[in-house]
Amino acid sequence: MSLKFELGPTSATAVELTLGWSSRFGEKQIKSEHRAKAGNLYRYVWGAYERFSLQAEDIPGSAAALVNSWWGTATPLLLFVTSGGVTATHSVYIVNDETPLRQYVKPSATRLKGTIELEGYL
Amino acid sequence: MANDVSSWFVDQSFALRPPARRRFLLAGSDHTARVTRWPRFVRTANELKSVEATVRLANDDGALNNFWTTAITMVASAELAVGFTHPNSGTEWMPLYTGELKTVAYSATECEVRLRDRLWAFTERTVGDTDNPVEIPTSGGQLVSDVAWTLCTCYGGLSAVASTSNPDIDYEAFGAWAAAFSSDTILIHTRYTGERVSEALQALAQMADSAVVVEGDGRLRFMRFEEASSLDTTLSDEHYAAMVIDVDTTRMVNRQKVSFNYAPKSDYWLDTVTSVRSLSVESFGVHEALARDESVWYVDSPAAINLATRRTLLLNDPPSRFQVETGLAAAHLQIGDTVRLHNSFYNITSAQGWRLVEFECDLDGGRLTRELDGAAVMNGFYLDVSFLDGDDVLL
Repeated sequence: MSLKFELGPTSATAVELTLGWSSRFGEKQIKSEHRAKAGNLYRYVWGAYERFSLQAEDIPGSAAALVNSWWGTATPLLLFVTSGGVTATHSVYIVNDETPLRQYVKPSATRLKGTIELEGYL
Repeated sequence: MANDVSSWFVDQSFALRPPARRRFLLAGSDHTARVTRWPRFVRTANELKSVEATVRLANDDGALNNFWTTAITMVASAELAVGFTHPNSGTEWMPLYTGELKTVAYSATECEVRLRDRLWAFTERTVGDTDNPVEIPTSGGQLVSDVAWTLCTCYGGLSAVASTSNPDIDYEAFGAWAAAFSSDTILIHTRYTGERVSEALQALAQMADSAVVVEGDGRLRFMRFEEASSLDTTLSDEHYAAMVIDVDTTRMVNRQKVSFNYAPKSDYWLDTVTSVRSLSVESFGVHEALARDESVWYVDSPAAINLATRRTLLLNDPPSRFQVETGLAAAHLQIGDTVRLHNSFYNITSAQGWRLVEFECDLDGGRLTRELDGAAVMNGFYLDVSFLDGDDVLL
């Protein structure tokens, strides 16, 4: 079963991403833990947010320019993950410290790649 | 008196993985989602001081800029609460701190709000001045609790509603506190020459051997520590991550003098009473203390000896203090509540109650550090049945 990843402010303006195998998905918990003297572990999970590290490959220059502009303007985005006709939607920001897609795919001078770091904002 | 929460809430506080939540309300609006750093604050019965809490909030969108563009919006109440989410009935919240927004600081995309509790207002108001001293009562003596009520309501600006609906003072606790003085007719006279209300109340609390704290819901609570209250909470090594025991002979008092009948015009103390615990003096040497204050004094010897006896009764042995660090276990307890401790290594049994006198809340880490004082509890007789069951006793 293949997965389809699209990123954009809306479904109509989303661009499709081709991802490499080292992409990572999941949640990060905000939690506190205390180990009592007798060994009991107290665990308080205050909340969680989604994190995605997408290894984008072979992205057309026009789509890459859009992604990079969303990063530059801190645009709230939606990540659509479609599997078997079912689409899950995640509300995210691009949180890269530097421009996400900034490396050309050899030998092309019109296609780019890079890692897009996304974090959910609830 | 512990916070008014359900037994389910108490059970959750002891659970290993409870559905814990935090909440920050500012001017009645829920700003929890903006909090980037939860505060740490300390509440203590050892001294009367305003508790400060600092909360850092995300302000990337500039939504909180109004505090400096429209400064009047800074006049806002604030509440920090912890809660547990019930599967059916939603989250049950318990306020840990209630105060007012006093300072705002902006840095980059964060807004830092600093809160002060109700006692802060007492530091901004004074009683009398050197030219026109205020005497409560104008002559003779008055119950300690009546003087405190006058200070809080007439000079401190708190509500004077004499019922449990008083929004500023825990009237139920105040009634119990007042009863302790009226039953023994503990009368005092006070004279203020420009002291801040906080200083006046602090001196009064010291001379009455009482504690004044602001509860989690923001109301002022008066206490005079006596018998252990309901000892239905036990903290053991299953709950605490750290425990420190402090036995301090420097806090001992086995000979207490209390001066009374002060004559302000001649700056002269007319009388002094003394309470001595001879056995303690023989064992530990003399540890003497003198209680006198030119702004508050007793007007007769029974009241003065009441304080002297009380101090030597509580402090004639080296007082023990415990500092216990837990998660949210027994979060409902407040200053003045008594708890049992259990530790097999130090041979601390649950036979005695220990008074919660200081409470440090690290809301960011969900951590509570509590100081429990043995000198603030008059432990009653406790029959240890397991001890009597020993063969060496009954045979």
